[in-house]
Amino acid sequence: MVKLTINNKIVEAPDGMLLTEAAKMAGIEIPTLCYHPELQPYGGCRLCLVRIEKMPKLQTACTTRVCDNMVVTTESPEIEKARKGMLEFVLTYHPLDCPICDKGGECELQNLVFKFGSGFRRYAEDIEEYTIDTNDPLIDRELDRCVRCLRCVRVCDEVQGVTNLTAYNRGSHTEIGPFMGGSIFNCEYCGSCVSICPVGALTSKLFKYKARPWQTKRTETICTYCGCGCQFALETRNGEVLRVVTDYDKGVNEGSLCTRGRFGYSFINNKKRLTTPLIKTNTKLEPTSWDEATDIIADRFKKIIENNGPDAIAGIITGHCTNEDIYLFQKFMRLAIGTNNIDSAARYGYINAMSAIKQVIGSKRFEASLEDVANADVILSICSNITEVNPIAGLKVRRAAKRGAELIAADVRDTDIAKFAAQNLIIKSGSERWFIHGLIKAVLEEGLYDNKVYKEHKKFINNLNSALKGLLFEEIETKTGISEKDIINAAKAYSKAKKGVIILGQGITHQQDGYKSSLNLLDLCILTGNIDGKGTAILPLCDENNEYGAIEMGAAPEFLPGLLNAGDARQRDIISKIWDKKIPSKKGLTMPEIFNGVLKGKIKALYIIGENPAGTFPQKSEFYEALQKLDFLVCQDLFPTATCELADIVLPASSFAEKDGTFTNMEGRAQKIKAAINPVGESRPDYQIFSALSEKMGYPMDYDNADAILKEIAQVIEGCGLEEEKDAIGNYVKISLKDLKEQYERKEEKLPAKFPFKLKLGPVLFHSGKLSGYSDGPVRILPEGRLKINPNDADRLGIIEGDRALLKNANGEVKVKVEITDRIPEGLLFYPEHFMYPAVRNLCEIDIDKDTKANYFKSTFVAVERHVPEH
Amino acid sequence: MIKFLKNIFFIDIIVGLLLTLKHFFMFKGKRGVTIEYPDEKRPLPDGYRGLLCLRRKDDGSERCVGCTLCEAYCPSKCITVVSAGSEADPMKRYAKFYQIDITKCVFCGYCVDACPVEALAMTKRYELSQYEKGTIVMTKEKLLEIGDEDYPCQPVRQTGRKD
Ligand code: SF4
Ligand code: SF4
Ligand code: SF4
Ligand code: SF4
Ligand code: FES
Repeated sequence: MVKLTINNKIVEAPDGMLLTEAAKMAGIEIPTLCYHPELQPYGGCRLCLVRIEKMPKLQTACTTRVCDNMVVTTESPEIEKARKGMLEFVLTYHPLDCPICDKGGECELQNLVFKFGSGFRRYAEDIEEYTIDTNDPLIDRELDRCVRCLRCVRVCDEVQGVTNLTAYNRGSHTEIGPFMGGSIFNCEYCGSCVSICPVGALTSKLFKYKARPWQTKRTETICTYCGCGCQFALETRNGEVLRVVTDYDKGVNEGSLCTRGRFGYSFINNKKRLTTPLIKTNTKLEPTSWDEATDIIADRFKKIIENNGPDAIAGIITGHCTNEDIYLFQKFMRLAIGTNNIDSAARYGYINAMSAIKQVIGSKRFEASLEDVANADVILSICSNITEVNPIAGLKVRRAAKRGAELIAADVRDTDIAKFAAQNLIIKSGSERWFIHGLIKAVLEEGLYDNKVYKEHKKFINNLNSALKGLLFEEIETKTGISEKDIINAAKAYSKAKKGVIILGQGITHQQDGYKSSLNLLDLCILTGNIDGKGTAILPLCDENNEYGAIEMGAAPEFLPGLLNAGDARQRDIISKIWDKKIPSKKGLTMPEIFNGVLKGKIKALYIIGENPAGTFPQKSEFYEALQKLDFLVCQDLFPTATCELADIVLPASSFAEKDGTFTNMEGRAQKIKAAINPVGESRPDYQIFSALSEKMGYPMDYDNADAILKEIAQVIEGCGLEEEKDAIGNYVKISLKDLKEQYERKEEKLPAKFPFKLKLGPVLFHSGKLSGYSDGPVRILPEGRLKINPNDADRLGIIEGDRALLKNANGEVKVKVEITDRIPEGLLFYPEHFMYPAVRNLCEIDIDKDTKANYFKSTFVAVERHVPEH
Repeated sequence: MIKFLKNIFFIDIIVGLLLTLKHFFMFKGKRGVTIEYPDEKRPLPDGYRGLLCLRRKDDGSERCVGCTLCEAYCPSKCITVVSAGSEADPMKRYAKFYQIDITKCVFCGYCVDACPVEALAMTKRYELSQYEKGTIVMTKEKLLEIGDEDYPCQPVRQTGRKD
């Protein structure tokens, strides 16, 4: 701490603090324009001039650090004159078209001139012509309004790490634009530059001229797209969401958002939203009333329970619902219906990571937090593509890497995060397990394990040794394409970490043996001592924003709320007691088992919330067939999906902007969302629908509001603290050699000769699930999918950029546009999973995990040829 | 003495009553003060604050840029503006929806003051009563119509960028 005097007031501030911040702390306002607390000091606008004793001339407060005995004056005629002068300079060429300018009302320049300026411009010559460029799909540039504070350039570089923007030309001719020139930004479209620009030089096309800031209502809430759980505020007017804004000091995201969060909001007011309950009459869906719809559902459910028992009904819920929704849904299924046949979207792979973590660490909050990632000294990212799946988590990795953390990125293709990696390892597709085992082998053979672990769990290490005995580095090298040296280097780097974090990507979890691989990686954590819960651990990526919550709330046949084991009578009793009704003891079915049950005629009715299996499952698969075989299908969704078309009753649900509740993000942080607008049309929040249904089913679950449900959840989760979990790891390492050997099995993937390419479907940055496809922003940036292919492969096939390729396999053929890029290795193809058409997903088969019954349908083998258009 | 005589013969009163009588027989015409409203209307001063209207530029386009300042300034909150980019030129701001609820208007004229492009003006119209309240909620079309009648086009004051 240092002591300084500002305006005769003694102020204490930490050493090295900027003078602007110290003054702010003391309640003294120094006007600033180019300064932003998120960015490095810059000193471009010279508005923050102050007099510091013993220094010549006035000094810029935003670049001066405080020191002891500094004497500062911020108000004097001299300073006032200087400020007025500087503001007049800024205004020299300024168009002053505030009435039209989109920033009017929240413009920093406007406010400054109003408060400190003279409101008069002496310069009367012609105004210089500046670029006004509105060709970009999302961001308009009107550079006559630019004040050259370079905040946009700096945020893009310092915070986003994208470095897309630059200032070109000099002096008063300086303009801002994409580094590569042209008018299209062609970047990550995080919108940080728009958000940070103090004036109306960079504006969002989606919000353009829609409203003034004082006309909108602001509601703080949480993003509904991915598991990062970014905090933002929705600005609404008359029931319409107009834009998303952030504060730099709020939430895990600290004001940053990805393109989906910032520009993907218009699905909320999309005209295609379901607005009334629909009922199937003959073959058409007709609007009906809530009362009738719920009556029919309750009636049919009751009949089915009577004739076939409660286990003939099953439910599947999306990971986009709130904890309250999910909790009530599983309670509805378990108590009102009486079955454990409940599953969620986590079954597509996230469950693998969660089950493994529960197995090893127990059910307490366990994962690395995003802050841990930002503070880590070594980050091992395995098949994660983190910057596209969880962009804000990716930002933390970037930040850590920039700070000097060692990033080891291993993936089957060159991902964006690899740019920041100290070691970028591209492994061959299908050899992920060899790579993971290679790392563990390296740790074991080089003696890189933690000494404490060695002493305590000697037997475990010996067992691991024997489980991996047959594996040689030569084999690993031929399989993965990574040399022994590289693997040992990576293992060395990771094991010496003080704060090591493993980022577990979907390339592992959403793939056969995802559960085992997750366990293997946890073994690696244990071996190297990187699992003490103090900033070291494993972070599985989470595609849908509340997949964590879905599992924690018990929307899985194997878990009860609080991650209790549904198969354990004692644990069931704990919750039964709180609920005051017995939880059915019969083992529930997982998602693939449910569909198999339908095929076998065991499941008669299915209640699907927010999922669209008819649109995501390959059309040739049995599961797709199962959907047509159901006696009774209820769909509850925002939009009329392909599954809704098959449904007997469709219920309109409210989006996250229309309801209260909580989302739990990938680090296990539960965060509140608040309703910003009234439900669209007649739609209702999911939990209200479950309440209404439960009443008609004769087991009323009546809650005043979402908060009341949350209180009950808290009670349930508190009530289930289990003792034996205290030393979960200690218990886990007692695992027998036989089991361990099973965990270390590797299965070879055979490339069928007829179909020599491996096709992978996966998430991309600009979209997330189906919602982004209904949002204007993401669709403008990426309206259609492109197949990524290696240039050599493309050459061989005679395909050039912009061509269409014909993908063929036993399941059919699909035509897709190609994008040739060397970021994808030969023999591999990648296609974004979000696009319904062309239906590339139909080429895939469904693959079911043996351990957790997770179902994967995002990869297959295909043959590729150039599509010759017929004319 | 004279005062006494005046008192007993009610002279003052008679003089006063004569004046009344004179005015009583003085009909409509040059020296009359009664205005026979509604057949006859009082001439209004130039600063009169009557019904509001929207004006056009000389080329016939709307002046209003939808900046919403009138809405912000209106003390009785009777103006509603929804701005948008125009279809033809998305960079051009205009009021997609503009409405003044005259039933709430207090005719203070602040909105006219606030308008940076002189799109709003006050007319000398004041006969606004209607049988149904809804009919005096002024839509943009009505406001423009009145503007066209009362304020024939004039060049607009330049703000900022040249168009
Ligand atoms: S940037 Fe600010 S000062 Fe400049 S025209 Fe826009 S609102 Fe007015
Ligand atoms: S949108 Fe984000 S990535 Fe693109 S230029 Fe702006 S700050 Fe950079
Ligand atoms: S575009 Fe905005 S943020 Fe960038 S330099 Fe200009 S005024 Fe500053
Ligand atoms: S999609 Fe994920 S990273 Fe992007 S804003 Fe939403 S929560 Fe944050
Ligand atoms: S704020 Fe200090 S120089 Fe701009």
